Amino acid sequence: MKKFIWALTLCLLALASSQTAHAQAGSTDAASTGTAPTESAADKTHIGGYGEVSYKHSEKISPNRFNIDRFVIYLDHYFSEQWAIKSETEIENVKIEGGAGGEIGLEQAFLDYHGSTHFGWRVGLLLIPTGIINQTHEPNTFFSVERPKFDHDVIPTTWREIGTGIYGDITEGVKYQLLLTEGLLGGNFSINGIYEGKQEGSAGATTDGLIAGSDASHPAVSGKLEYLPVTGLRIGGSFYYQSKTGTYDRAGNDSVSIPAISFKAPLTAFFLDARYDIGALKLRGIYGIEHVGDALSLVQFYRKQIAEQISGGYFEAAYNVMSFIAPSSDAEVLPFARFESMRFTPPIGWQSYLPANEPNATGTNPKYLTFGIAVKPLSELIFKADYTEIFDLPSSVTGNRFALGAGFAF
Amino acid sequence: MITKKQAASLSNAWVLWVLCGLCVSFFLDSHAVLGQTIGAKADDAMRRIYPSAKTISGVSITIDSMVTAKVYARCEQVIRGKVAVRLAKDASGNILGYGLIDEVRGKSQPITYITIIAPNGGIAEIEILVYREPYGGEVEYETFRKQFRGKRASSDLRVGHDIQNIAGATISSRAITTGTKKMLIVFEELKREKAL
Repeated sequence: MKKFIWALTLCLLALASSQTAHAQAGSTDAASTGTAPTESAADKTHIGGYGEVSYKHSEKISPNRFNIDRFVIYLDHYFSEQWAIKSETEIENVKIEGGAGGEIGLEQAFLDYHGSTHFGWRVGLLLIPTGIINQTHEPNTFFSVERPKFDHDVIPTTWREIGTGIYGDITEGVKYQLLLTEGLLGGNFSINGIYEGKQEGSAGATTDGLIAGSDASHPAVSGKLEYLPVTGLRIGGSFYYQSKTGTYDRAGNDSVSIPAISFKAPLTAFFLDARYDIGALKLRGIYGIEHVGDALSLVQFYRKQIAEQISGGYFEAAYNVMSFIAPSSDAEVLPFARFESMRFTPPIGWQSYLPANEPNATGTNPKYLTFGIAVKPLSELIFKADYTEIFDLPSSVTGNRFALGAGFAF
Repeated sequence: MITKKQAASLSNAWVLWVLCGLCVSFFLDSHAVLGQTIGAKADDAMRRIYPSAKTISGVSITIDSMVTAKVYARCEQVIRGKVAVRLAKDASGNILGYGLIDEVRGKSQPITYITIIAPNGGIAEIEILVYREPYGGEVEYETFRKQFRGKRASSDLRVGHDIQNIAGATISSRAITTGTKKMLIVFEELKREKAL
């Protein structure tokens, strides 16, 4: 089966290359008509990026913190109108020294074949097409200093894995994306969700010294359909399905007597999202549900609490008050509010394997109310201030927060 | 939920579906749009707007420094060099409409588009001729483009005001809107100089 997939991929690559030759011949033809646009598309390599700096104050966690949460460099090269390589390289939390601190990594890096409006193909480190923030996460595209909690705890943003996918418009206003990628590692799931299960193209634990890379033995399929019925409204439905997340890895569990069990721990997830910009008003909403199959076996095997069902969502509204204060200005001043609610439910029967006093063993149902203001003097720049009130989490763990931030993207 | 056996077969089926989709799409695609030049796409756009046109021809207008300065003064945008213009004419040689081809920068690549302007200075249509990036191509949708019909050089043409952006494609929405405003002013200045 694997050989068959590789053979097919190679055939497709060869086929696509022959098409590129066609297309390039076409462009030369365009130039010779003397009616080419004012500037040529000669600028084939593009450098861009985004970054965000923040100040955070928490009622319960001291000291207060300054951080450059992310500094990201885009490097894209367009070989032709069809073929391109696109990449995002990220430095998180300023620096890494002695193996500790932040993170340097590829956020996405893929070869893209943009054949037509209806069909594109890509291969490499890809963003899973779920929700809103995962694929569009530049700081000037959301209003709070930090990304919504939902886009960490439910959708493990930035969720990226190595794989291949197709995308395009089925018809005007209906867009699709379909991906086949490496999947999550169920052994790293916890009561706080699937976030730690990400491999991000590089699962350190499975690098055996002979072949580096992520564990490619449990693929996942994900996809998104988007519908844009009117200008300003975008409705999306996405899914993620992985038939097996378990790894049967007994290393690291030597001190625990492990009974003979077998499990696959499939993961199924669905998300619905909507964005609606109506003049000065901007609305966003999302709902998602994730189900980890065989969760009780994971609890038994790994001796830690794991959420069997994760669900939640948020609703956000912002209004550009400059539309009536100074209508001639291009700057935007956006007061906003967002309410998030999530639920993490452990499997029934977990008490057989874990002590009752395990932290958060019975699951959690946290809620976050964030309100603040975002100022955009230019569309590429944003300054933010917000306050987050946290409900239904032990106050010893976390307190209400105040944050200031500035961000850019170009 | 789904049984393990069903899950396994579903997963295998998905792999096959993806690969089949890839194959079919590549073959369909190879005969669809590739190879059509910008000039030919511009002519197609002109013919759609002016089906009664007898001829569609092209001229290349040199922008002198006076026009550059006037355009900059009116919209703080720079135009230099040459502008490619397509002309739709009826059987007696009267001009039915002008198509000004231009490029604006999207997130990382130029977007080539045509602003089709009636002799009275109002937009008949805008069309995207080449969109090169994998995201943001929704500016090609008619629901977005139809907002420009009838706009003039004196129109506001600002996203969030008289033009509604596409949610999730703000950069390309802004790029096309500011570009269109520039081309309307360019058209007006060229007419004033009797270059068109």
